[in-house]
Amino acid sequence: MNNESSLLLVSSSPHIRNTDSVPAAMRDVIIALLPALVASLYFFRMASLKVILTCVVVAVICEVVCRKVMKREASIHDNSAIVTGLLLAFCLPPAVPLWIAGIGAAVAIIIGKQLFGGLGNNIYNPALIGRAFLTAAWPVYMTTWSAPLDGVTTATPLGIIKEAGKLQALGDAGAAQELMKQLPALGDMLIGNIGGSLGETSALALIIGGLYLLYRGHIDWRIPFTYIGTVFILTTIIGLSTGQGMWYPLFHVLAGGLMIGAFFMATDWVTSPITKKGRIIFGLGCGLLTVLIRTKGGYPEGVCYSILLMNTVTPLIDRYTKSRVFGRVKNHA
Amino acid sequence: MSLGKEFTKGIIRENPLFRLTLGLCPSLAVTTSVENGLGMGAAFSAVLLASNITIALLRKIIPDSIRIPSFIVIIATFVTLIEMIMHAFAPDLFKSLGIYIPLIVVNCVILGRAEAFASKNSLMPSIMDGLGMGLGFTLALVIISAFREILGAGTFYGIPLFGASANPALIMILPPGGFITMGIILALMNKFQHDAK
Amino acid sequence: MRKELKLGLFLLIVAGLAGLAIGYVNDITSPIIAEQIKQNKIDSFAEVYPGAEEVKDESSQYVKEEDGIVTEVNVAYKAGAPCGVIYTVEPSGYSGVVRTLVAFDIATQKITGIKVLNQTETPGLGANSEESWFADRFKDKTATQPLEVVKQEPVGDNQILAITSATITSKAVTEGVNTARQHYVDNFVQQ
Repeated sequence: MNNESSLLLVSSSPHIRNTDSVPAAMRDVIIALLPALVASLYFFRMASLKVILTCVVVAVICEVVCRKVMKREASIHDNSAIVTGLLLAFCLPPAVPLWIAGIGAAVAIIIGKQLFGGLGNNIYNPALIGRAFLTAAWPVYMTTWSAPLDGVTTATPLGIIKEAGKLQALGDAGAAQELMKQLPALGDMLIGNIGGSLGETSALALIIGGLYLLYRGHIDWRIPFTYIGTVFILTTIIGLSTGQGMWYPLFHVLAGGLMIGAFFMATDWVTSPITKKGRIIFGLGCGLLTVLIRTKGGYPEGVCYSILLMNTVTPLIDRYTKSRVFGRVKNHA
Repeated sequence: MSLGKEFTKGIIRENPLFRLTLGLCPSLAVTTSVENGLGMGAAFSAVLLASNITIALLRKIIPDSIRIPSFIVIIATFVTLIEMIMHAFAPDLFKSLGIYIPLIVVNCVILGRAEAFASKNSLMPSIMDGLGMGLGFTLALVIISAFREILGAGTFYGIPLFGASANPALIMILPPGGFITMGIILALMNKFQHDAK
Repeated sequence: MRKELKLGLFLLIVAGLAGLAIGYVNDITSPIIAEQIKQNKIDSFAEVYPGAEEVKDESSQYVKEEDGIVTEVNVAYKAGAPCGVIYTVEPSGYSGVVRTLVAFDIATQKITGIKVLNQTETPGLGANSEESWFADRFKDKTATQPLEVVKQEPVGDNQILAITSATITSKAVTEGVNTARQHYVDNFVQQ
């Protein structure tokens, strides 16, 4: 049986209708990632350059080899492997060993994308698959963060908050307070002068890139807006009810991978819903899960897993939110 | 079908795990090391063989309308016996297999063979069927667990393979590693079957 | 009606035979299993407190409701006199209870050893708390001052180096040791 043709017929989410526009759109995504790339190179220097190059090169090689081995039409010209490599590198710690970065890129392209049938058929965002795989495979390397500029080992802002929360729960309030003093100022978090993954620290650079994508019409405002909005509203409620004030929601919006997740990963054309209503549900779900994982879960950060989990239910969301124009009228017998 | 064929069919052609994809839950859960895989396979095979023999012998006596409860009682008895014997004579294995030994009761392969084979065939074919299916299941467990143990712990049957500086991919001995391994093996089996046609 | 009775009787016989078989094997294996559990306990006691002649479970005397995570107190005897105390504590770790043995020597008032008996922590991270290299970090610490967990090479005598990327598990084990330590100081050290 020819799988290729049957996949084209039964694809439940025909996200990409005009294949000519894919390379151009991917080029725009790369352009939109440039500000974050510059910020990353500035704050993390050579470490950043090495990891990004490794991820992109390995991703491109895997894409080419995979298509050849699986005897499928070459797909390298659509630029999507470069985007996956870049996005994966952006969610890795600066000090990650290069071989781990390389394995992550290979897993992202081979297991995350090509085994599902290539771009357009993958259920999950490939870069996030790569990251989730690495987090479970080499947790020590994936949770060792270095500070910007000088590169000494440090904790991420979300890591500090989680640790302080655990200390509080163990009854060591003094140590918790001491730890909270290490939190960076909100201004540093906005420009990216904090510990964290290579491309996620500078919220400002990511917002500029996100706005460019919105302006070019490649992404729908609904997902990033509802995603960030849900996180903001939920953390405002938590912040006000625990007496931490408006500092708390601002902190959560700027911290971790929320900006890169909301603008560049949750909006992935292939793995997010196609209906308008569906996109709002998707954003709400991502926001809710992110806040739940950050405040109640074991991991300090939940953007990666919340987007992956919502990717899982994307076909379901599409199914229940698609317009009924061509559907059968319900029989009220 | 000859007795030899009853034996060999369970190993590849009707392999319970790779071809029939039965009994996935315990197989994915215990295959974190070759030792566990072998232990689970042995316990499973013993129960399957014993239940196949008993059911083949009793097949004319067991009333049709209550055959399923009878099968379950027989299987559960053998599982309990194996559990107690393992606890007494192989405590380390018992500790690492844990909850998955009692769960052999609900392993659908065993009830499946009882219903589909042993209750319809005489003693010798049922013994061959039990041995073959048991061996096929054990082989499958050992293949999965070898893959996972080598990549996830850097060891084979507890023997370090790569020296102290190695950094195995922990995910392979965690639950996702079981699913990834199973998926890759099934895909390869399908590919070879596809190519053979 | 007769048919149902017959079916019921058949199942009764099957279940009865099964019960007989299980009972017979249980008679053989249960003493072996009980012996094994006892031997395991003795072995792990010897691991954390070597050289005791006799170890007696005195939990009923020492474990009180308010002691919380202390679940068992065993006293080691040498030549008829108490020489050490072995605690079982159950602090909560990252994903469940981390059952730990902690032993003190009465003569030196130091920790002679700890051993994590049971845990469900993350493999490769918190699960490393079972390894002897982590247990050794508690060895010979004095019973009279609280221990604290640090992430860099310890400088003070009372500091315990955390397992890399498993601070919560390290803290849990240390909390267990500290609780046992406090209980020991309150009950076994003459003021």
